[in-house]
Amino acid sequence: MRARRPPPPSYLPGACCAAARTAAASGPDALLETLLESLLETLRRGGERLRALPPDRRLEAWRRAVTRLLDPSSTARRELDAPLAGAVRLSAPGLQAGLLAIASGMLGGSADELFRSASGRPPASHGDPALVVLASNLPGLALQTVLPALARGRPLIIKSSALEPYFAPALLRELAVAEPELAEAFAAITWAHGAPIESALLERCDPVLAYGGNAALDALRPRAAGRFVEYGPKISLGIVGAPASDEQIELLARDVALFDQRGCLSIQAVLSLAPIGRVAAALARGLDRQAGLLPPGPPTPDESAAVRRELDLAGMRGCEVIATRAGSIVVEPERALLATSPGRRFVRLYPLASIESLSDRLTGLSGALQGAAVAGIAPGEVESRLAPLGLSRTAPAGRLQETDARWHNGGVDPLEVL
Amino acid sequence: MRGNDPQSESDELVEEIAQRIGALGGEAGPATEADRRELEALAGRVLELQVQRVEAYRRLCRTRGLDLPAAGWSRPGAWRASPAVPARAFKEPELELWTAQPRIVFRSSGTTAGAHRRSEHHHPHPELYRRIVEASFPGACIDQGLLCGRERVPMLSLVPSLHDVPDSSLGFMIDHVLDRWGANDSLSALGTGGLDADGARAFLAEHAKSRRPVLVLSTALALARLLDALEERPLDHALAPGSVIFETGGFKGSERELARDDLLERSLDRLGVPPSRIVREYGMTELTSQAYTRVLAGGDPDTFHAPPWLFWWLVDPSTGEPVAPRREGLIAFFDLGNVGSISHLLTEDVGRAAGDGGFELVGRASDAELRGCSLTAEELLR
Repeated sequence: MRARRPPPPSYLPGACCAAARTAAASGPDALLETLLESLLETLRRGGERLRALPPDRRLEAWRRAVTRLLDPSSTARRELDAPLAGAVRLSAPGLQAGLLAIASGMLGGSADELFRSASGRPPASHGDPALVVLASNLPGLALQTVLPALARGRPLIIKSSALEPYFAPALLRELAVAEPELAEAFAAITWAHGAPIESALLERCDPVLAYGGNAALDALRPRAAGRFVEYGPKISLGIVGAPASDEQIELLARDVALFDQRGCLSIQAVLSLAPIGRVAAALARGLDRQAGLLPPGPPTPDESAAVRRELDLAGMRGCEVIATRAGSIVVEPERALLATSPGRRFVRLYPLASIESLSDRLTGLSGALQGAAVAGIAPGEVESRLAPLGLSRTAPAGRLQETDARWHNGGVDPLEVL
Repeated sequence: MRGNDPQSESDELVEEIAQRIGALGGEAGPATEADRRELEALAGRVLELQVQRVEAYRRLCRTRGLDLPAAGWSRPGAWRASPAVPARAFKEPELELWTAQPRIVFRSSGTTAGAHRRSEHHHPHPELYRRIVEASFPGACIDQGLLCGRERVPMLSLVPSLHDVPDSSLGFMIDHVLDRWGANDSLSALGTGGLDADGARAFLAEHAKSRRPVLVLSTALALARLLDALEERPLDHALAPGSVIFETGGFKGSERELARDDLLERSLDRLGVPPSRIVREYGMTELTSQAYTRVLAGGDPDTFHAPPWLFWWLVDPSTGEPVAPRREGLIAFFDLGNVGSISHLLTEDVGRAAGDGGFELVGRASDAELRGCSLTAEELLR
């Protein structure tokens, strides 16, 4: 007898739990339909209980649940660590730093602010569950939607990526432990792309919030019956002003190294008004230091091949290349078309003639620009020039990925869409 | 390099390659040891020429710490240690990857990366390209069952001609195939106006009725569209035994994904052509030579065989070194037909070695895995 593979972890509230898990994987149509209705009804009831709960109790539950997940010694975290690190291919220090970067800012005053802002808004038009489709490139992505859903009183069905099905169910379990009144407000499940449950939920849930690459979004968009809110692929950059110190430039390396450069706020390229040789040397030192603090996770064969290919192409173009085990820096010509990074802490460095030329230099990125980490230049100088390209976040070097509850990912106000 | 005039030396080398390939002829089977030694010697001279004339390639050699003088590369076997150029380099025309004045520019269809970032192969030797087609196409795609004692074959082409798509290497090849072996009543049924399904159906119906075998030249996608049309209006008779389908290209980047098994099944059902008469071609804009399956000779339908002047091996994507036996890897080629550009290429296709000297395609390397909402190069170019 061959052992059956266990189903991916899920969090399903109420009585529909065990049966729905089976049905989601392969159940006959009628059974799936029944169980889906049961799940939606449970979440509607859970939503009512969520909205009846005073905001301060929701926030307190959130803080307790997230704090436990951030504590490497907690039981929840000990159970989560190995599968999650394997799924997102981060080293243990890399995973902890990544989770802290995403979650820390959501525990402080910005969460209070978000709840205050939510209380001042008119109630949602209905209390039906929203569907959230997560990408697998970052651990902890579910945090970005669960907090505003708590603030807004909106039940959620979270579809985890099949590659990373661990974090969202763990978060919901901790929330339910922290506040039993929240136990039926959220569900986290996963399924293979194109499974019958996918179309059924895309038809029933409004809105659908989807994270991912263009191919994933293209496959979902036409099947969503209601609003479809996209968190599509974005790029982030470092901008170095002439007076930037070496220490500031070195800090940019943290924005490269965190999440092994797989986040939409991960820096893929740096544009510099400072002498390019000095910036390259400082960035190389920074990458070297980050390799000690946040050792890279294991590369896939495709990633290794892509990095080698891009280094070869850079060599063919005659670019200066600094390639070490800590990462790669390619000094591109001033007028070169801005290109993305193949990942694995690979940064392209472009000289910038003047700050006035910044937006012209990036016009090809219109709508695809997410964040800018700045060193030696006022954030306002960059924001005013790049906002028309979609820039949603500016931060000092080394802090770009430490978002908080006020951040509007991709310019989308989460309270508004929920 | 021999002699004093670099241009005439280069022309001489191209002519030697063309003659050698011509002498090997349509038998794309294993070369003799003597042939192989001669082809290896030519490979060394090709590499010497390319190192000498392509600055970007010299820079790549230096980057890899392989800064031999050009002549060093012509030593026996030295070419095997030369760096393979990523096929993606052909998307950067400013690298000027040619050894002589280009006479024709081939561009990829741009299905995966957008029309503004297509591969460009600036080709100085279209005559050599034709010679290669003549030396390899008939051995793979034309047999006595198809010819039926005649010299020319009625062909239905579902590949746009050079007239319609002047920069298509596939169009260049198929135009030459039609010229060289096509009967007078051959038909091109795919052009700027799309598929002429009625014309194609009429051609097939007429030859099916007269029991004359035909050769259908098609991409997988165009073949699928033809089969769709024939589902609405089926042929009255199956194509004559001996008919052959030449199929290339797959469905990359198209709006439809069709399982290969389905294509085979429908080709048998709608046209009466069994899998043993469907020849697959592996070719790319960046190469001059092509590999084919050998189904007409009873070969495996998924195994491609390269002609003797197109050396290939598999590269471990993690290390860049040749793969261990029986492992999958990125397919690398050294194509003597690319004497006018870059011969040593590393593709992004993943393959595995088949038992009989050929290779099977497994898939494509992807930058996109686990990038999620982080922008990749392909997405930037959309």
